[in-house]
Amino acid sequence: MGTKSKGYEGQECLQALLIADNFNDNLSYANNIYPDALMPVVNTPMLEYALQTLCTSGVQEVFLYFSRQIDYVKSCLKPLKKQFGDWIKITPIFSDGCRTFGDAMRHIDTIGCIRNDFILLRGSAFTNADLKDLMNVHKAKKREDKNAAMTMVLKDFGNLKDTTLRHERHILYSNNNTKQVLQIIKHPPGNNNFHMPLQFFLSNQSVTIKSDAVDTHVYLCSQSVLSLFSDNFDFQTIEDFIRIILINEELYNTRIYWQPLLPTDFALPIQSWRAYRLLTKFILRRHGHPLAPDSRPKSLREYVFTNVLDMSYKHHSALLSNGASIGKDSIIGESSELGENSAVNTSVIGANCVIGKKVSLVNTLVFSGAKVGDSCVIKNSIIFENCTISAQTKLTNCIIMPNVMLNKIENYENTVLEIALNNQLSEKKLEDLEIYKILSTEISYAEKYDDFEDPHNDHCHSDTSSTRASTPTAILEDDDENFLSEVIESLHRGYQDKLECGPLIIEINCSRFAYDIPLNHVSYNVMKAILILPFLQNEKHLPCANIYRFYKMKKEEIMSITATEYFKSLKKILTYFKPILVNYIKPEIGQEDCLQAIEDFVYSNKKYIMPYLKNLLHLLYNDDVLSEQVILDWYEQEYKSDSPNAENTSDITESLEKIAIQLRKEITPFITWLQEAEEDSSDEDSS
Amino acid sequence: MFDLYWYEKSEEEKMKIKKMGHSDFQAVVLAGGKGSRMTELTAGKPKCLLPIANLPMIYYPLHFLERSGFNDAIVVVSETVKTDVISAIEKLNLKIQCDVVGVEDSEDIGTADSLRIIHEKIHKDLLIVPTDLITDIDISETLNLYRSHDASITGLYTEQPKIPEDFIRPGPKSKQKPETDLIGVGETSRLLFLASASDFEEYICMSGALTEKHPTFVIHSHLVDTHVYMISKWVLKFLVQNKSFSTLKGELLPYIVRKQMSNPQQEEEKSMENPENNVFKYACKPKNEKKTDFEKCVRDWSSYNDHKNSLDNAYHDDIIRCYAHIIQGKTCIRANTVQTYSLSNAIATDIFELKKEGNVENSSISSKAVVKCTQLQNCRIDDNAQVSEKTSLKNSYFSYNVVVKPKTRIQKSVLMNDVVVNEKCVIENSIICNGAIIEDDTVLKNCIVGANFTVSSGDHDQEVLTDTDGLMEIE
Repeated sequence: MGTKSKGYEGQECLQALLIADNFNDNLSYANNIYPDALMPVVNTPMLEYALQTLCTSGVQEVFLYFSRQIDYVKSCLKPLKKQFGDWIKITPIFSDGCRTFGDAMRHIDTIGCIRNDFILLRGSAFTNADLKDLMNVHKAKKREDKNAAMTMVLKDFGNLKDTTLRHERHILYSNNNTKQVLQIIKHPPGNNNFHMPLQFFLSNQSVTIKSDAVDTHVYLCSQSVLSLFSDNFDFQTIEDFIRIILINEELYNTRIYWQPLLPTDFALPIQSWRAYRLLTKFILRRHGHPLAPDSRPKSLREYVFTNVLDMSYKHHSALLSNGASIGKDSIIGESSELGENSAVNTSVIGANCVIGKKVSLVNTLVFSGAKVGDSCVIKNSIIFENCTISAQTKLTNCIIMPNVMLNKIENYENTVLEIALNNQLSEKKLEDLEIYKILSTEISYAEKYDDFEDPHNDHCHSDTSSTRASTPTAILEDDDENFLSEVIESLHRGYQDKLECGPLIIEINCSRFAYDIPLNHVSYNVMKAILILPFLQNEKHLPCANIYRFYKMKKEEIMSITATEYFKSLKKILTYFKPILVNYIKPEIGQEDCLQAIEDFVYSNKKYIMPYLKNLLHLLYNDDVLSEQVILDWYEQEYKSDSPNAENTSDITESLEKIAIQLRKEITPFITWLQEAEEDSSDEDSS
Repeated sequence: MFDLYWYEKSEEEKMKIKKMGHSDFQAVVLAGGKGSRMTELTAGKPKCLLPIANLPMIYYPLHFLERSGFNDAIVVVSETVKTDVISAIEKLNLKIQCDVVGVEDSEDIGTADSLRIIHEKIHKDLLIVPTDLITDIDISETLNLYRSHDASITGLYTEQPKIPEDFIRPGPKSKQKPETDLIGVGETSRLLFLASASDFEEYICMSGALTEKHPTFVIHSHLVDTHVYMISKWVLKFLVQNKSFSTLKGELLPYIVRKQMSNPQQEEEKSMENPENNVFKYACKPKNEKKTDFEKCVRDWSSYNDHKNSLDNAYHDDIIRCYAHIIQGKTCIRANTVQTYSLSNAIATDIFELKKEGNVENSSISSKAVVKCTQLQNCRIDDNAQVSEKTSLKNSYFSYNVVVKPKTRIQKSVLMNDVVVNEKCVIENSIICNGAIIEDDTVLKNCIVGANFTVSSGDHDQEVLTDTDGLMEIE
């Protein structure tokens, strides 16, 4: 490897980096079978499309980063190297231990193979755009702003509200003139309102709000991206990277831009099964030209049309028997056979499959090597490699994992069939939601108007406080939990490593903006996190991420400490985190939330906290975190059934009520003391 | 009249259409404003009569309408100054016919209230122009945007005026924060969001339905709201029935803009008790109107669609449609603060071809004025002004009966009626209101002198010199 980055024409060498794995389980069930980059779409692995596009764009060197199923990958790479080796220098990098995108980037940085601006692709990316042109756009941006770290490439799909992609919409805020990305958030489901920071609009002349663009998983990066990953070990995913860079723009002094694809170019990453289905359809309908059957890449070249209008294809070596028909948006792979009078509709059949007579396949994916017996009726299903399905089986909404043999005549519905460790066939029900996510290709239009209500109610604009209160908690819960989890992680790490409180506050604020948590939830969650922390102190085998989930799962085991131990530990933690408490809980509204958090916590962890509750309150009172007025007000309150985390079933409510009464009894001495103290002080005042 | 292809027409054709006039609109100039943002100046004179380049402010919106092809206009003024305004307009020799209507002079009469008062005079769609609009914009394109989309409301927005680098605002330095309007504009100039930034604390609540219908839109925060609005007559009917709206910009417009996204059926259910409050009751046009039928046919048969990549009908079947026309590259100033008022004085002669009298280059001197000045550059001197010898006047305006005594230098200043400047004064970048007297040996730099105030000798820099009693409280 030369130190100077020169290609063979003496120009600067254009490099690309493809991270083969997505490190998520968006394509559930297939994730364990293929690395994302080798997932076949229309019988061709994603990697082949990507390499084809890189070649056509004139990229000279590509690094492929694999972290799973190395042996399988190696066997796949050989033919690809042969196919593209003359045009592009392919360097695979294998790392078996890598578990996150961030780790992969840090690994690449230590290798030092990237020497300039580069194109970063994720394994899920599919595009036919000229990447060199896009790279020039990024370079132009860099000339204007030398701290431009990344240009995201977005594909404008128009209004996504009636499409299968509508659940994956994001809202992008960007500066209208410079295309600088300000924030990316998830689109709220349906018509729910969302909040935009006012600051964006005051500091930018005009802000574009866009919800019709899809991230193509192609990023044009400056070299600084790698070092940013290396400097920040908490960047786990590319989403983390974007989010944190955007929040701390001034701290990192880096900016992210975006660029739309040309309307003529196509891109769609397989970020979900819905997108996978859609991409299959788009490739068959030749939206990705020249990436299309009978054109490019090589594995698609051998296909021929069976019907141009229906967009149905077969491999030239595939056999169609008498009366067999291939319906619209379908394709039949190499050396596969379709028996007499069988019909295939909107389905993809892989290589070396044998489909019997009178079989009906509708909206089904059949991966290579499958054998389907006569008279089977299969609908909305996925059949992975080398399965055998005996005659007259009926499958609806099923997923058949690799190497499954179905010998008996049986009907399956909403089922996952796989071979368990003991070589027995295991059945598992697919949850409704899962079916919807994986198998649905069309959406029901009725659903669209289900929860239609006047979204622009009259107070919506003018009164922020009322809208905050009216924000449905149901939506926030998920985010709340994530946020709580992050707060716990931050605080835990901070306490263990004895970090200062200032940076921790910044960290919590970052998480808060990331999940768009209203202020009152912040004080609630911070208090809750602190109350949970003592349980975690003695635990040596804590995972570094998702502590909260771990805590919820292992609750019984962790809680082996006594109440005295708990309180001792809590007291230390409270003293340590006093600045954080003061920051979040000092405002009166925060104090109420804090007390609410304590109260809720008592409900679920009565035995630890109840005996020392008065001490805890006393401590907080002495630390000036809680004012006596707020404590007294809270004490006066009856048990509230609408507290955010309380269950609603009646008997639970009843028992909670009992606890609430007990709780107030428990702290009565403290309250009396408070009241007396107050009287004393007022006496002093008057005297 | 119906002109979807205005932009493709040649200049000649445009002129022809313009000459036809705008018979489908009635123009209303709202001149009842008190100028509460520049009480220093309006204490002695109603805002609409403050001189800009020696012409009363009301001249500019009327001239703007006349240029755009309007033949008549309704001018709404405060009852107390009605006669003054009528006589001022008569002197202007404009072709446009003005119907001056006085409304009660009261603190709580807002812009919407004044429209409600004059509604009987209005039987067409409305074009509303504020009195403080100093601009060389041609309104025709905006009117056509309104017409072609059959809009309910259309607003006109422009870029911030470019302020010359050497421009200093007279009066004391103040950190007057300009109001920030947030204006959300979607495809085909649809006005989707209208609010003032001061209504929010940290976050803006945005409806999800908005992004459902309009996946891409831009929120502008640095545009100037010209307060020029085209308002459909049904909106006026609605306004007449709903007395709770007091101002146009602050209350009525944001309300109508919000209602674009609402569902007519739900609105009807909501307002069962009080059907008069249902905005959609007014928005749906009566079917028996012939013109409407024709229009309806045109719209129904047209394959025109205002949005791409969605299968919804044109305009997403919205009955209420608001538009924002953003004009760039033109000068537009709203002379409603001291800063913009003096800015419009500074540039008025550059952007308008004002009538010239006299034979001094770059200056206009009334034949009834006595000017013995030796150094004169870029000045306008009005009737009966008396300028003595040994004076130097540059870039300044002198209204009726101004007296300038010898050995005085004046530049970049505005001197209103009956101002007397005595000997050996230096006046720079100042505004001197009517009837003020500047005594000998006074130096005024960047100052404002209130009406009928006498400035005694001395140096003044960036001050407001006025009888404090005469000033209204600044809100």
